[in-house]
Amino acid sequence: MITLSGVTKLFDGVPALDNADLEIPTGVSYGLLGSNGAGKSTLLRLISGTYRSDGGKVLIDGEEIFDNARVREKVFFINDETVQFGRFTLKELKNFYKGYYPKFSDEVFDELAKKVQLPMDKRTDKFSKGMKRQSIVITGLACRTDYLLLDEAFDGLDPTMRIIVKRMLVDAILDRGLTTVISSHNLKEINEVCDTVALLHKGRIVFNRDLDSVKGNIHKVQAAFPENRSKEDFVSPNILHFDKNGSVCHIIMRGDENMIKEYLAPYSPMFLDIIPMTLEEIFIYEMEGLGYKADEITEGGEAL
Amino acid sequence: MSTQGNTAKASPIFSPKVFHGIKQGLLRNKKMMIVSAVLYFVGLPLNMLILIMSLLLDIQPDIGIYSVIGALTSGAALLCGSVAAVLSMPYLYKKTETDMHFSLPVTTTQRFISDFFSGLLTYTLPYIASTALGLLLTLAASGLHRSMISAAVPGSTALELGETFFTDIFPPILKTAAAAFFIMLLYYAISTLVMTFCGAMLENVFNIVLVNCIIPGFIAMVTHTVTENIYGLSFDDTVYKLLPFTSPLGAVIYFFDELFETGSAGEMVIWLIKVLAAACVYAVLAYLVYRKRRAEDTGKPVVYEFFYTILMVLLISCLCFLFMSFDDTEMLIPMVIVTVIFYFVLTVIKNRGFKKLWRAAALYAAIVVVSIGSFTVIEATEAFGAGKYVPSPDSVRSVEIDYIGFGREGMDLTSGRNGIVTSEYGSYAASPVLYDKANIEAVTRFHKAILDSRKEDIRAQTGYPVTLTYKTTLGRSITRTYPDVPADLFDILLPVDVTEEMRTARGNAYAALISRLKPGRKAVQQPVLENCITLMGEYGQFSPDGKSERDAYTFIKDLPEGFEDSLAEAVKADVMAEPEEAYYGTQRHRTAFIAIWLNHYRQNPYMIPINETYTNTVACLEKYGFEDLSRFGFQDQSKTAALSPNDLFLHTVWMYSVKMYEKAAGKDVINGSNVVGYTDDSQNMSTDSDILLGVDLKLFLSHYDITDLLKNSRPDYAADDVDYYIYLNGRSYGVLPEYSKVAGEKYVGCYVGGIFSGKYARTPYEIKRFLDVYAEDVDLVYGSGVADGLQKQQYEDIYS
Repeated sequence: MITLSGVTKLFDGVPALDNADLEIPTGVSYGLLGSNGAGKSTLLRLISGTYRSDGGKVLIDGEEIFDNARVREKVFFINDETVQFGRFTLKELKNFYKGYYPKFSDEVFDELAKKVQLPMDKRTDKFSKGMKRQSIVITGLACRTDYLLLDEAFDGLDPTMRIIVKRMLVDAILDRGLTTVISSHNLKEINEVCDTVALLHKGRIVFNRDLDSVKGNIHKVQAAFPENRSKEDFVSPNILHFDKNGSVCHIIMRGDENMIKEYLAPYSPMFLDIIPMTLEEIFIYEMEGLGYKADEITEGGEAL
Repeated sequence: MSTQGNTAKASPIFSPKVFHGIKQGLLRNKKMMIVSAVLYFVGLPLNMLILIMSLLLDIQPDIGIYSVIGALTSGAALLCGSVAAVLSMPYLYKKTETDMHFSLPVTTTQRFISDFFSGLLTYTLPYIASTALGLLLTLAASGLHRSMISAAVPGSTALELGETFFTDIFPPILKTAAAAFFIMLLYYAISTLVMTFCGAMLENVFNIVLVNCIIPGFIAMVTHTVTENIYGLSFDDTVYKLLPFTSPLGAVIYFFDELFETGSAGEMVIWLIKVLAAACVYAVLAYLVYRKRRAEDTGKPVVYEFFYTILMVLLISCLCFLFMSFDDTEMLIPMVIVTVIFYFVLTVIKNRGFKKLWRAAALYAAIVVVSIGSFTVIEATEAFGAGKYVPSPDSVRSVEIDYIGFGREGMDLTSGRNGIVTSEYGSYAASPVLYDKANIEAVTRFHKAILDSRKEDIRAQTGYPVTLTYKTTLGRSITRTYPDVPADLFDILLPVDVTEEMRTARGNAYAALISRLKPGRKAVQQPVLENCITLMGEYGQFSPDGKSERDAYTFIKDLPEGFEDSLAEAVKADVMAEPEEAYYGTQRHRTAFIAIWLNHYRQNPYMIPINETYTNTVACLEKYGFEDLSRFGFQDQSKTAALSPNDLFLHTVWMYSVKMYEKAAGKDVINGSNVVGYTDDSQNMSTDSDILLGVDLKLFLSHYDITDLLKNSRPDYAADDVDYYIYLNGRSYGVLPEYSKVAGEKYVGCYVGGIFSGKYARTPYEIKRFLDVYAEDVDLVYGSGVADGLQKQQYEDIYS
């Protein structure tokens, strides 16, 4: 189990992670969501022992990971860069990591490499970004660590390759109870691979729940009321978003269906439609609730 | 805490992962290794061959372009040390590498060790391989050399040269190879330390260069300021020995200055251990900084601001001291301009822009003010009183005194003053260390007298160099060097010379010199004398009958086993037993010298005087077959007149460089510089007749009286009450005061000026005066008509 208790990480005095508490049980596939600069990569680097925390503890199976070689053998971290592997061929990459991870499996490596059809003797700087990504993912899986941390795991992969990589991960999760912690802006992938997610914003963990509970706890409501209702008529911390189109009100609200119906009953809705939300929508509205407006986010468009 | 304890137990420093890391590092740096190997393999063997040729042939071989190639390639290869350091820890300056390396399952210590050693091996393996090849070539060259030299130098034998090669030529090459290796370690460790302070490639490279230059530069600059402005504070002993450990460049300079030729194996090993220790200190510092450093520091130009601040302080103060040393207020503005340019350009680069410029400006102002202030304070207080400080005798445990004759090789005997300063020590022995309280007290009085005698402008002062090194009872070492101690102050030390500890020091020094001979080995005669002794008479190469035997090294001996021990013992015993009155006495004359020719690095021999009371020495020499001692006037000068009037006259005439007039004289005469005369300034006397700078040189001669006068003169003696000196064969004899009157009666003033070769500046009048008095003597020795010939030639020289 990965445990963070009261973890703070400062960069030039500014907290990138602020008193974070988190528990990631063994065997789960954990997704990290958050805006740019929310602290996802910092969190992964703390868990991998790359960063030393400025406060609190980062424990893997009850032991501090920082500067602890034995514990680090349980963790493999794949960051969002690939240029560092440019000087290796796939074979050399294998040999490099093999010497550090005692459980490294040549068999797994060869099998996965065969699956993705990567040339073994070609330097990876000649590879495309997606191929480099595949190389390091299969290396990470071949290390057979208990925990695999992936930062922007599917970045650069084509749709087919995404499916292959996702299968690899899922197989490892199922076969040997690998715990994965995945940070991605691609919420579809998170949705598909992860069973638990955490949302980070400005260095704080906003929520940390299993995905079903996240999805079941926030809904889009379309309703019409006999009287002309405005945003001000609905005062509740659970309302994340209110919009009106003609007489139809669009409300994004936390809570399960019963709770929402109960809350809106006093307003005597003429019709009430409660629709489940996708993870992307949840992310957008949660962030909006935190003051992170969607229309201010600049991104590639795929994720949001 | 307990977790960390378990971790340490579970992660040994040298685990298989560390060796795996080293291997991976070597693979990563293989291109670098190939490049440096190519450079080494081109450069080192070439350099070694050049060195061998120059050592063997004793000439600088004319292979210009190859030496340049050798120097450039080896230099470039040596500089690869910093590149190796940089390449071995890419995650310290490349952000993209940090996650990969910092997340590996190794501890910080293990990561440092594997990367440090992989870089070190990258750097040194090509050197080791190429040096091994170079040494093999050197060995091969020994065979080549035999035939080369045998052909080139008639009379040499392969056996002799082969022996010389392995004992005298191979060791310095090995020494250089070892020194280079340890200096490389130092350079690599310093580069690694600098790297741990920096987080970007630009700063890494720039600061490695800067640190290697600025630390020794700063030390040298401050020292220069102190030694230039504070009388007596020494550069050599306090800082010079420190420099090798602050920079590889300093180490290279020190090695070639102090160890390459003259350093013994023991000294070399100790020095190498010190260099290694310094490298270890830098490596440990690098490790400590590395441990503190965090992954997120990569990418910052400078990880620790204090490091940059220290560098700037050193750089700017160094520049300030440089400008201030001109002692000219007009240099203040250029100083400000230059320092501002340096400081702000570097700061803007470091800050990647103009942020925090006010803070930088404040720091700059502080550095300049402190530098100027320090300079002024050091100057005004004479380094906080150090310049005027003389330790009290009670606080001194020992004092080492190094002055003319001690620790100076090749010293002309005429440069000496009293017996004490002309004890012919050479660099083969350490300066004497005095423990006796009376001696220490005499030295401190001498020290005080030096300070009291100081002139306002010390550069205008003339005299002799002295270095004093006190070791206090508290273990402190105080060293002072005075380049120009007035000659008469040495009288204070006169009583010290005959004390037991000084005699012991002298005896040990001679014994140490003699012990460097290699008995059982053949003496080498050509191309230069090696491993042999010759005996030389008081009159150099002249035999008593006045014939030249300049080249007659007739006493070369293949030294038998045990000879050196017997001779050392005999000389030591004689030195210890020499009566005080004999040492100081007017009857004391050195009757011969043992000239010791060690190896061809020195063209001149070391000289051990054989004084009249050295009966053990004489007996020893005779025992080993030096039966011809009497031929060189080896006899008691006090009892017999070794110098016949004609001998004296012969020597005297050379003053006029009869060589130049031999054509006019029509005689076959001998070149020389022997002179009986008087000068106010012994420094202007030269033993080389072709370069006689006789400013205000006055001659006197009386062919029958000089012997008597000599009997009443003391060799190498100078004192205020001595009015006349006799210079004979390049040696000074002070006429005792009670004979001044007699000497004055014999004296004939005769001015000789200018350079004694080429064009002459002597006035005909002076020559005429000389010949008026001595023409008869000239004719007597050289034959009738020589005096006229001289006179005639003189006129021709002047008026042609």
